[in-house]
Amino acid sequence: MRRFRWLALMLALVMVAAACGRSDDKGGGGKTTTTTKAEAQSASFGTLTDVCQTGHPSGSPAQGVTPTEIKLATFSDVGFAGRPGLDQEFFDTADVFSKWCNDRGGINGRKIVVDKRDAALTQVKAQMATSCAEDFMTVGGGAVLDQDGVKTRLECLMPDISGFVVSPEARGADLVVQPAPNDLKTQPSGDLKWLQKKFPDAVDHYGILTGDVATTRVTANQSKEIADGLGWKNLYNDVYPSLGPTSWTPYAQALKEKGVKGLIWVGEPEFLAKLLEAMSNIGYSPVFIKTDANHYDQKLIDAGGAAIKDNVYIRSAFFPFEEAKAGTATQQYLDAFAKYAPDGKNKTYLGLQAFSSWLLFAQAAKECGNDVTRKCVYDNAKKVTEWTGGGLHAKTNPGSGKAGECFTIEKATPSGFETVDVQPNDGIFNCNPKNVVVLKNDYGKGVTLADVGKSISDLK
Amino acid sequence: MDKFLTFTIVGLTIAAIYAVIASGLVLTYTTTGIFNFAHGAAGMLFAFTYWQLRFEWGWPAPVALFVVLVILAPLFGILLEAVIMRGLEGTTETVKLVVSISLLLFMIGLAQLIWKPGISRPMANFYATNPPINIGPTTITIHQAITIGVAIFVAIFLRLVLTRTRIGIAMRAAVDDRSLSTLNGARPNRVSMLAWAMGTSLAALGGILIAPGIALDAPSLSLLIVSAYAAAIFGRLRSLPLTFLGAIVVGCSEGYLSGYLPQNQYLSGLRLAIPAIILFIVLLALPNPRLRGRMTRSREFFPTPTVKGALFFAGAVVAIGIVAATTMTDPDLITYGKVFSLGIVALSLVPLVGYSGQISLCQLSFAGIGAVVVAHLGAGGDPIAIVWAVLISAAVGALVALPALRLSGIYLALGTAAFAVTLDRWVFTLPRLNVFHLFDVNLFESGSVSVDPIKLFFRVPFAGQDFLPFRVPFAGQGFGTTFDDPGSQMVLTAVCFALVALLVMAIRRGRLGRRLLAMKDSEAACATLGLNLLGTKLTVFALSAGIAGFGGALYATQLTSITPNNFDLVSSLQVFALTVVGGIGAVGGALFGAASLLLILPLLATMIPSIARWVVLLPGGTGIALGRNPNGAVHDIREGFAPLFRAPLILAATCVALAGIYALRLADVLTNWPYVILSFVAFFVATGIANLAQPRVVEEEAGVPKSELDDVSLEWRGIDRPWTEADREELDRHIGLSEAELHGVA
Repeated sequence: MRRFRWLALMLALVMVAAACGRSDDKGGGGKTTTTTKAEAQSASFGTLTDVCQTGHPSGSPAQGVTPTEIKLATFSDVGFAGRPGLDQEFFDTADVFSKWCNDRGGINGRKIVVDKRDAALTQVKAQMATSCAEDFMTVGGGAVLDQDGVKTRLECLMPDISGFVVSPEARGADLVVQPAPNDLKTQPSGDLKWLQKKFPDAVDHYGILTGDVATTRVTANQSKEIADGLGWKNLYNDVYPSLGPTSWTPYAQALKEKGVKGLIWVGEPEFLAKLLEAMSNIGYSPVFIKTDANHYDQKLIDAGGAAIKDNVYIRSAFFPFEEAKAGTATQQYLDAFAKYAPDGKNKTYLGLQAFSSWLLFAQAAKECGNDVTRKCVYDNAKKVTEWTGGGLHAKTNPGSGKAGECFTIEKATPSGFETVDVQPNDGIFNCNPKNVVVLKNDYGKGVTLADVGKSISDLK
Repeated sequence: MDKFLTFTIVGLTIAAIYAVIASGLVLTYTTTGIFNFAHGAAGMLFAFTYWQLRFEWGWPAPVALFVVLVILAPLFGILLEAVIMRGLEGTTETVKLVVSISLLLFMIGLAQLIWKPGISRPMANFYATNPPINIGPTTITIHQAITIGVAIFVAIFLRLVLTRTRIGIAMRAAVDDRSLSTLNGARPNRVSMLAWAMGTSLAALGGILIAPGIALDAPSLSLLIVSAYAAAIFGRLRSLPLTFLGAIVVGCSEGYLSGYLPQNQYLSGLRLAIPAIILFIVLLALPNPRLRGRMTRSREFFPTPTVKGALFFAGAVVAIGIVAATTMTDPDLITYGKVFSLGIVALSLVPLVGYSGQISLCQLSFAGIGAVVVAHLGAGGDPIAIVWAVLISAAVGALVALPALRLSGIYLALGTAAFAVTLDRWVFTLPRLNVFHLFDVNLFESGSVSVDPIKLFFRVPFAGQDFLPFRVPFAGQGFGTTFDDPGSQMVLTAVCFALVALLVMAIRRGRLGRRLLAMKDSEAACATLGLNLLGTKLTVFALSAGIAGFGGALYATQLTSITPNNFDLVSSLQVFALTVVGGIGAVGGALFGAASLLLILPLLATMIPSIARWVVLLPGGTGIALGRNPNGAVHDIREGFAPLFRAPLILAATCVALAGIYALRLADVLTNWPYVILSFVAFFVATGIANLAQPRVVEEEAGVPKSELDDVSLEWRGIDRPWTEADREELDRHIGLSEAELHGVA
């Protein structure tokens, strides 16, 4: 009977493929719903009140919205074989927020249903097309190669309240609201200015090392423009293979030889840890290593250990987890994770940022009342010009999409992170319009509605 | 000077690890003749195991090391030898290779299943807290010193074992001449087991030593092995001292090159590709040793396709394409629609590997070249870009073939793997290249590059119109037809797949096909008979690369934006392994390979989420089972279909029934699932009826000798069914022995 087994397999293969369309119960992503009844729990989050609430919704004002639920897509790349589990925090945060919110009644009585769209790095377009056919909008996620999905998303007029945006195409795209804007034309520069004041000698011997990926190169080039604009002197400029080299010693040695005293690093925390180790082994330690918020990650501490000297400065605009006090938004965020996803990746800045997206969505959708349409939610979100995610992070301006004016710096130590005194004027943050610089060089351009033959008036 | 010393230490440390890993590889290859692609993966698996014991459970290092290196790794090696490798007697180099590649994929899947990826697993160096030792102008960490010391110890240990112990001498005897050593009372099975036990243990040791230096990550640790291959090739896969020398050469050049190469965005990827490039050079420079491998008849057999069968296959492919394009939703078409374009890439393996017996692990790299060409030359959907894609890929294929001509078997596989690695780690990641303003190209724009849909200048009738209950695909624009929606792309790729399949089958039936098969059987005999081996090899390489480039170009237009990740070595290995599982000698095998990769596995994962985590094990698992059935799955599938095709009436009825069900689906009377199930049932019932009908036919024509009607072709008698006296007579008749000769002999 062996031959029939194969026959069955072959037929199944051909036919099941055809079956995928149009059936009601089909794949595309795991779904999360909670059926817990709304209890009398506080629906406040930090400084935000009534984030989620019960109600008596009716009708289906838009795709993905029914009288009982709202279907939202969250993108991530967890299935990428080259780096499995990539950006898992987006899915975890979506689980946590949806359960937290649904326990409090949902969005005016409509439960949030999360469609997890795993782009697995190369499947962005397919996942976006699926999402276009099913979901109301995308919230709290992102894909590393997000340039592949922007056109599809705009063609179906689906707004995005993003967890992050990566490529220039997506960073400057239409119908995007970012709780912590990553703009193409404006960038924060407060951290570099602070470092310049603190280490005036080191900035005359600075270098840049970045991963060999187009999008991180853009970030590195933007940093270089800012640093050069501040009068820093560049001695070293290199890229490392995006999957990591066999040994980091050559990079450490090259930096040492060039006499680099200040390093701007655009990469991943685990690789930075390896580089620090290699530096420590050859007895070299630059005055400062400046990096971005994605390094505010326990991985850096775990992998770096004793190799972390007193010189890793991380720009951040978030309240650090270490200093979370009872009643603060950060503590509420941690409590929600502990309750709804105890195994989830909680202490990551991406998770925080995604949570802020969810809060922004919930606020915008709440104000629409019963008529939850894409236009209404997008417009409401876009109207917000001062946003702190209930106190998760420093003030940002999602409406304008320009870089934030506030920053703080976290310093990595072998035992964890500590907040540096950056002469704060707003909590732990230093806020000043001068902390933002307008870039002159061309770093690409976002996809607009006009590029796909649509206009904002098509948004319903 | 201190720079030089620093890099010498870096180089020697890398060399030490390569030496340890490569010596294990040589040990298993020489004693059993199987080149273990999964050797590095075994090292990776035990590096994870060590991490679990030492850092997660906090065992003391000596205990954890003892458990991993002396107990678990050798046991695993013995298990591999006894369960999998021993079953590979009498299979071709290709099948052996696929089994070990599948094992590699399986182990990566297994590691990711047990140790959830994405979590940081810091693995400290040995004595990480102790300060580095000062040696003059520079320092050496204790971990580095230990690594170098271990390599020296392994060298001495192997030397002693192989020259001073009885079992070691038996091992060397088995290497020199297995049959002779058996005659002298050695027990080769015991020797093999020991070799695998030691080999796996050495792999584990290498894995544990290297893991702290790079991240503990399953795929990258497993593929590190490519560097160790280069060392092993220095010793021609036989000599351990030369292997150690090779490791030093590879390790030190890696160290020095990474230290002294100028900082340059063009060279950052080169550092990763250095071992692969060294491997390629060594393969070409060293005299090519005669491959091990006895002249046993292989168990593989691939029948010649018939004209009728070929046409039916092509027709069925197009029909499936059209059915899928009209019933599936766009998102599903985008997800699963790449079956045929990737199938064309898999098809390129059929003439190369299936017919002529040359192994290539870089077909997806050729596809990548085709994809890049169409991305850059196909602006606005110019179909000429596809022609360029084919021509340029074919030219690159011929270029790769030129040096590779002197290689065969496992050496060819390694050479092509090295080419694939060089391409995906370095060439594909290059930023904009501008050579004297003559040549200005930005291959993947160091990320992803977008591809325009193809435009053809003819108009499909009713294109884009609602016709009966469904919309005709090919929404034409202007005078041309743009293949920009997934449905029309599906149909286009299906038609292309059918055409290429017909071409491949025509080659098999023609003069070139016979030459290729002859070359596979015996290159020496071909040369003796005056066949131009050089020309034939070049032709088949160029042809195969051209087909792969064509597939890649279509694949790219479906993806709409391509990244080097779409064309890396691991994907190439998967396509290769699954096509061989399907049956490398037949076009159906290619379809099977692509379909399992893009259809069955993702579908299984989406439909039954609970097993999604286990699905990663399947490609490897099926490949490992290949040892039992080297002809591939398609052979069995074809046998299952066979009765139906011999009953034209029932076949016609089935087609009508299927068309009827399809019509119901189009009229939306049926939804997809009932449609699928109904079609499925119709096909099964028909096959069943055909099966029942079969014996009656035999009875009706009782006058004819039974063997004449026998469905089993001559070659398969005695294998697929018992051998009878009548078969012997028929065989005699076929080879043209006259009655007189027969009786004379008798």
